[in-house]
Amino acid sequence: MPLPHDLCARVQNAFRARHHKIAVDHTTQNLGILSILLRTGFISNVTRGTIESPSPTDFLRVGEAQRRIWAELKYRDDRPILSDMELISRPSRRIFMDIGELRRICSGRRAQTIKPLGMGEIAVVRTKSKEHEWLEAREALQLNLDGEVICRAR
Amino acid sequence: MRAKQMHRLARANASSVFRRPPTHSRVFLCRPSTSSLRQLSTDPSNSSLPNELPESQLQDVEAIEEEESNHAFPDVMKPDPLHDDLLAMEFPPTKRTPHANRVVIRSVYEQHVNQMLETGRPEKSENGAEEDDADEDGEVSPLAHLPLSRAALDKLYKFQLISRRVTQQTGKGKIHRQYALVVVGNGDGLVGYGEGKDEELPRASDKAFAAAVRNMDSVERFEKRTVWTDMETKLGSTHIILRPRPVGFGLRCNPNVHQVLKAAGIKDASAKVWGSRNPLNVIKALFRVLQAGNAPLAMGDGFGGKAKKLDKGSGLRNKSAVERDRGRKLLDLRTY
Repeated sequence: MPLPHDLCARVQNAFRARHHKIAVDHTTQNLGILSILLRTGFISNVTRGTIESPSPTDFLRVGEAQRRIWAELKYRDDRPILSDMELISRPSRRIFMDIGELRRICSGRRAQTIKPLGMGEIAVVRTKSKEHEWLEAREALQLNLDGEVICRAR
Repeated sequence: MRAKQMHRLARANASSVFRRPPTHSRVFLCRPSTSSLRQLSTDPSNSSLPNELPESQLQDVEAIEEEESNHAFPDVMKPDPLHDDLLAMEFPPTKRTPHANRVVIRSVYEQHVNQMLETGRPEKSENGAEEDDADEDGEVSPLAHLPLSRAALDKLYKFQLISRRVTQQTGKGKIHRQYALVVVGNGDGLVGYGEGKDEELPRASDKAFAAAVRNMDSVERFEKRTVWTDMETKLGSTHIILRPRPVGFGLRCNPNVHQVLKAAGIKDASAKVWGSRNPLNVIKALFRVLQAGNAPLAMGDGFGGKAKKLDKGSGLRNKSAVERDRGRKLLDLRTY
């Protein structure tokens, strides 16, 4: 599975280059993280598609290698909505947090050398639950689930 | 003297329209007559309206209406002696000025015009003579033409953060001047800094104060007492981070940062300056992180010019701005 760093870099660079839409590999990881970005309002649309275009019907006809997920980016007042998206848990150093530590970073205190989330900042948490695998940090708190803190976006 | 001769010629030829302003000018009331209002509103015969006036007031209204009908609205098709006077002076082409010129003065008052033509300078108005702002040396005080009144200026919080002697080396020697940097704020969300230079420090400080008042800009605050989120920036070698803190915490930070935040009306914050603590760079970095968001278009896309270093950053945005951007409410997670 490709690293989440690939998605973070693509989304951040696309915002800085003022792109309208981006296409990323079709994986459950990318789908999960992009859904969180959609729920929190960083992107406006998530669609399945192919390399050519964000068309759900074409998605069904092509093979696995040509399938993509398209995300439509948001801008306002001549500024991108998302300015930075970076990894927290890296392959060289994985970061797993329990509920207490998640609560600390959500409420402005440091946990485990990870800086707290600022106003408007989100963190993506990957949990062991089958139903709710990819959650935003505050959603994980509400559902009382802990796991690996993958990345942060603001 | 040619202009004056031309002026007389013009009058003689009656090619200009010029009249003395009338001694008794008619004053027209600004508000419309109540009778015209009545026509636009509901039929007055339906007297079951709640805003129908009592009898005593009705008589006053009638008196006003009678008076107003005598002062009819001005007929704008006819020239008005007060507003439509003009003096037109024709200058035919000469050897030196080969084009015909025409000067039209609309706010005409004959004595002023004659004086202007003689002395070449506009005459000061006799009524309500303005204060002579220039002092003996002919210099204007820097506090003279600021957009705030003296009372408002006195209420501002000002603090001189930097004062030093600066030197200009010329071929004939060194020219020393005093430099001052003053931060000014109203203690309630407006703050700005200004620099001034002069031979004497008090005058340099005044110039800096005037510049600071002109540079004041707004700062977003959470609960009118602290910043919204952790913010950091780097300007040259000066790295500064600013953090929000709870009520009653106070300002625990670098002394220059302290004065700027105090002037801005931020009461609780914690800040750390790493690297260079040069006061000028600390102040500039702090203003960039507090106020950069007020000019988001200075991004250096090539449209509108290059980006300016001191405009960098998305600046302080409050919660409602972020919510409007995302189209979502931000969750408030207090654990205490």
